[in-house]
Amino acid sequence: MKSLSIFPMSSYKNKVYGLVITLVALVALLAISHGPLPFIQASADEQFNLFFAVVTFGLYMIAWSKEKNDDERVQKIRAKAMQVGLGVMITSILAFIFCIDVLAIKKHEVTTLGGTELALMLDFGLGTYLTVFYIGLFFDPAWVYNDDTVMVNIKKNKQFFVVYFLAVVVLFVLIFLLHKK
Amino acid sequence: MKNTIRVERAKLDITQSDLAEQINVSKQTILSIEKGKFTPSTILALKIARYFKVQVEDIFELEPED
Repeated sequence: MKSLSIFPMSSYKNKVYGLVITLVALVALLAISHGPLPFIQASADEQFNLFFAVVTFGLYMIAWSKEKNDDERVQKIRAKAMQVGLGVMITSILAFIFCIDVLAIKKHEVTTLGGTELALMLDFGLGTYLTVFYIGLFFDPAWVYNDDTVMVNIKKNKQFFVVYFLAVVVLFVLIFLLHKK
Repeated sequence: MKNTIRVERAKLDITQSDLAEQINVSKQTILSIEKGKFTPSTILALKIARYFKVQVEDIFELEPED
């Protein structure tokens, strides 16, 4: 069967390269937190922003690479995980935008976003996608293959959604408290 | 949807890995299908049936909730 892939996945090798890039960049970030790297002519903040973007690129490489045996089960899990990752990313960006707008109205100052903030949002979405994908791949019983709507899912597992809701509330409170500082 | 892949495998005395290799999927995929956690596509169902030399309906059966 001939098919056209608009945005194809890269080979399994790139997953390994992506993992190496991410780990090296994370080690660099850790080192920068103790002081700027001597072999790059830039301040610690500039170096941090650069390596943060590299971490995001590494995560992207991991996310867009195939598995060793990329069969239809893997593809189905990937599609569901991408749905979750994209959903989380869009809702978190929306929440972020609303927070900025509310603060702008209250304080009469416009907040601008830099590359690191944008990379952080991408990392959040990519991190969610990768977490959900690997839970589905290696902890199969934890994965529920259903196409039910939000309300039906909530009715099926009320306890999980209460915990999920509380986690979101705690996250927002933390963001608010951090911003207040 | 329930299935009799485990029974068919036992008849031929083959492992999940053997079946997975024959139809080009991972062992985890066969495990998930046998447990009823994953419903295979029509193509995969036909491949499984062809391997066991039976009809698809002999292996896969719809349940009332399907």
